[in-house]
Amino acid sequence: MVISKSEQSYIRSSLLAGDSHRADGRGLDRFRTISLQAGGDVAPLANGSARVNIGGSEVIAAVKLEGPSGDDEALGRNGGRISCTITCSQSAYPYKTNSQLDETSSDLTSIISSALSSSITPSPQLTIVPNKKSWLLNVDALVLSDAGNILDALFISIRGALWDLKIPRTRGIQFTSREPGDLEGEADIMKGVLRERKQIDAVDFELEDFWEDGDPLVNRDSLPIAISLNILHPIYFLDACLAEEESAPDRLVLFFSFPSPAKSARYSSGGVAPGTLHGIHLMGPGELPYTRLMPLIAQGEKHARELCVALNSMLRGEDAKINAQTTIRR
Amino acid sequence: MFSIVPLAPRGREYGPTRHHPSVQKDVDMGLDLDDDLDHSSRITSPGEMISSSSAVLRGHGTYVEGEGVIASVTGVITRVNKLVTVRAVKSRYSPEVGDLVVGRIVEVAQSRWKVDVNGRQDAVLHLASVNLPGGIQRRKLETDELQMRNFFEEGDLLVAEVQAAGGGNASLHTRSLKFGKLRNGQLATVPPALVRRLKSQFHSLPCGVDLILGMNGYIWVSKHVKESEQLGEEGFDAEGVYSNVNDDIDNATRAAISRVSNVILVLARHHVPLTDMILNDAYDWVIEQGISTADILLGEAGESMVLSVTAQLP
Repeated sequence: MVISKSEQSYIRSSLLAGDSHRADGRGLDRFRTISLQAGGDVAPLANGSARVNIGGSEVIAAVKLEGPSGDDEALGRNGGRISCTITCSQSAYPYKTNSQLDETSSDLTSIISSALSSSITPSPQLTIVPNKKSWLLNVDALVLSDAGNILDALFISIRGALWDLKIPRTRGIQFTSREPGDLEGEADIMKGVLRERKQIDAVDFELEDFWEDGDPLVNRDSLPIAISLNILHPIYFLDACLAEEESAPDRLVLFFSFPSPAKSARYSSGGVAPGTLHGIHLMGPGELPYTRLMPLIAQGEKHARELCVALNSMLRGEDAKINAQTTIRR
Repeated sequence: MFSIVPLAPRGREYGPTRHHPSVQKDVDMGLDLDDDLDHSSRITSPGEMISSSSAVLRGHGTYVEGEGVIASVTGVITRVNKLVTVRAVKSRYSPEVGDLVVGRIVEVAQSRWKVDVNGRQDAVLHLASVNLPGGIQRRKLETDELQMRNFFEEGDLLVAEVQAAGGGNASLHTRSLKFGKLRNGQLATVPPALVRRLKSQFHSLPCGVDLILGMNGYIWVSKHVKESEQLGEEGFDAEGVYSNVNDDIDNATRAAISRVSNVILVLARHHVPLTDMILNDAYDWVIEQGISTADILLGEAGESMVLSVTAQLP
């Protein structure tokens, strides 16, 4: 969407004015209302899914687990792998051609997948058979409409899908050659260890329970979060709408993850446990002086932490509601 | 500051039960189809029989099935003599001659501009239909065609009147001093059906904010320009009219512009038709209640505002 020069200059001068004004009267660090739905009817066939709408920017994300298929890449990997694909639907960008859509999609994919893989993997929960097989997480996100700040919306929906993810419980199995008088075929790995008292490596796995059950990811509180700071020297602001993105095209995108409250409670000095920065991207045609970078990162961490806390408490509330419903049904 | 709410799941609303065609006839027999001649307007939905097809001409939004005229869109039934049409509630803007519209330039073509007016097609603004700098009577030169971007560029907003409209193709003109390029404000978009045709689409609110209610749903909210400061016929020059530079706007006016924008968007969200009376009332209510600008749009205060404003409607 192209806006006129006078509109751009109006938005810029309003932001830089004494008490900054935005088009809808928000403060510089206020987000539009975030509507979030995790799990449930969003994508029932996926292992985890979520839908997010931030003031008109709507994204659906889904996670599907894939067992290793036997290609060499999967062999010998512990900790799991994550593969991410973002798709921009034509309805979100009616004026873009197919090649422009592909370009936008691949830009978003490359920015998000590097931050995801560095923060989620390696994780011991994703290992199925040690040193042999691990889960591959296929994360797919679809942009349904873009009203500004699509990157934050994408990441919130991916985070929601990962929160909703249930990893099926597996049991390692091993195959022993047939010996006279012995059990044929498979043996439980525990039985094997007790009986044979030697290192038995499981070579394959089976699912313990039905596909709907499973364990959520451990440390869901420390899932990563993205925050975009739109920069208009000397101020920055969060959650830009489309017109604001046109008027202030420089953006600093930060990916953080924060330890879960249980861990940070053990933090000795009594302060808040610092977050981990998983990625920085500077987008737009402008330059950012180095001296401004560190204070912006510190501010971004503060906002990311608040967003994390708000999301975690909301998702936990939703979980409790779903659990209450299922217990009533039972 | 973050406010996170659960998202309502989609596709929960289901329509009324549909009957098998043979049963439907029995259901319809109960309808008395003649008494709605007395009503001035009746809302209908697709599939509903409007009248029997004898001595009735069917217009847009209807079709004939068997012996009845049936609505094909949701809207208001309009009868003019023997013509029955259904005017759809939710539809794109259809340009009509004499409408005042706010449009955005999307393309600069040879001696004309293509303008997005929120309709099914882009409207056309010919170079001959704009005021050229140097006086109203100035002749168009060849160099003007090459310098069209000096007047209007891609992305510029302008207010114009529809000169000719036929079959969706609209032709605009800005041949008056009150038309032209827009500056010193921001745009709010509402569904076109909510903008009422009034004596004048230009309004001035007491808080120092000017409004231009485009019939196509684009509403321009800007700083007030006093009558005496507007240019006269002799003083028409390019610097002023086609300039992209905003005036100095003080913070109070900026806040008022944001507030009026939010009020418009909330009223549109609740499908309240927009007139200057309603906007005045809504703005005064917001000031009285002391609601912060952002909360009008993002909080729940919007609902109460709409209720109090619509309660005063006849």
